[in-house]
Amino acid sequence: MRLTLFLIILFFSNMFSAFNVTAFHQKLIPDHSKVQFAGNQGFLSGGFGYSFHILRIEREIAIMYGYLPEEFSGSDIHIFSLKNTTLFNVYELPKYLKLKCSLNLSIIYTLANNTFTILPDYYPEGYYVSNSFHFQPSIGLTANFISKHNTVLKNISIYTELGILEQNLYHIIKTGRVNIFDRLNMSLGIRYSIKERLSNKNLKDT
Amino acid sequence: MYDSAKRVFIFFVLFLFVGCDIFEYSPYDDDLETNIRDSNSKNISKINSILTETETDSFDYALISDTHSDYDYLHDAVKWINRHENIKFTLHLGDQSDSGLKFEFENTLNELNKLNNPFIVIIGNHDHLSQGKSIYNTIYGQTNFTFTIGSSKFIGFDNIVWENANNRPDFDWLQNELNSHNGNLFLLMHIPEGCMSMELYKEEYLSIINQINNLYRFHGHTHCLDDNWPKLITCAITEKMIPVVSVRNQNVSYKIESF
Repeated sequence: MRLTLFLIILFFSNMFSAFNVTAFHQKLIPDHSKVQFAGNQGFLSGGFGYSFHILRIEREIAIMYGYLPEEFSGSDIHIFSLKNTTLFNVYELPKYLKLKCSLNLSIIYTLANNTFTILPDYYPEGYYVSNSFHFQPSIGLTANFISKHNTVLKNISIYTELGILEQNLYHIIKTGRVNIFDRLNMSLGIRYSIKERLSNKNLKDT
Repeated sequence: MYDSAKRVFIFFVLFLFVGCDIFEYSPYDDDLETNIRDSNSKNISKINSILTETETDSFDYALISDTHSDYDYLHDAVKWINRHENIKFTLHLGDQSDSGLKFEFENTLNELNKLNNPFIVIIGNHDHLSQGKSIYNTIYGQTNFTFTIGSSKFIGFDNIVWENANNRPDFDWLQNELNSHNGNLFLLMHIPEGCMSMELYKEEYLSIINQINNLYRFHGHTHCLDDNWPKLITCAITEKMIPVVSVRNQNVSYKIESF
């Protein structure tokens, strides 16, 4: 059900391209959408993002929703995340691929069994800090397909990320008993460039 | 430049094929990497097989508690316990995690598995957080359980209130288990009755235990050692102290050891 909802949202994001939008509205429209498998953001997560440059460095921010069904976790888990990506070092494999490395930081908010942002009334004040938030730094690799023609393929890139949850990092720093390689996790994802497609379509219309 | 790209690419591909465990869906899921299941009941069987007939009424065991994510201290405690052959088993009095997350349970289990002799773990308030209870059930079994060694009966009792959706602990079960034994009784329960979360049920609890003879109560939670024998609160593992309990038929005593 939730997966269906996510796919509907993804579909509508592409529907933006069907309208003749003004420059102002264009700025509000996310320039890319993402679908991701794993990475502590649910079995599958999806969302939208914006690209921009700071000091000539390519940056992206994406808001994502992820879902993990009961079969994996004892109860349904909903995950909202804000993903901050810095892309650097572009390598080009002629005719085929453009590779970009990335540094990412995800802020993960989870709604799961016995998690809380504000403590229930029966706890004394300050008994626990919120256990709903986590951070995950990661490094990533993004591959953009190279195409001379304006095809859908040109707007698609695939990415993979290798990350570690902040609590695991804390255990590794605090104690010598936890192996970092046991706690690294990987994700796979697809990024679809909406705005590039949009601007190309507007260009054709004029 | 292409060489660098290749290296980065190979690095990611290698990680991808290391195994499916590399994909994590959420820190709150209960998809455990360890295959250990129902550890408490398996270890109870081991205790009974380790102790010979003559030893079943004469044995020593160690108490540890509130290990949280202090794995270095736990590692040292395990090494100390392993050096003392008189200690036949170890009881962990709860709070083996900070947030009830699966990797915290697994980290603790990795250290406890290094014990030469069996260990029994009861649930603490931190272990109840998130999916903690479900993970505890998978690895260790039921949160309320009993076992007997000779004429001694051990009762592991889950008295967590707030983290257990503010539910009343199952005092009916406790009363039933306490009343059905005449030898030494050891009640293992994470939160002592003086703590705030037990405040609501303190009178009910005291009315049950006050009727029982030969009852020894072992707790954790406060992180400080508190001797009010036959009630003993075990300190956190960071205090580097281990109470060792000696059972000699009807005589039960303890000694605090440092590691």
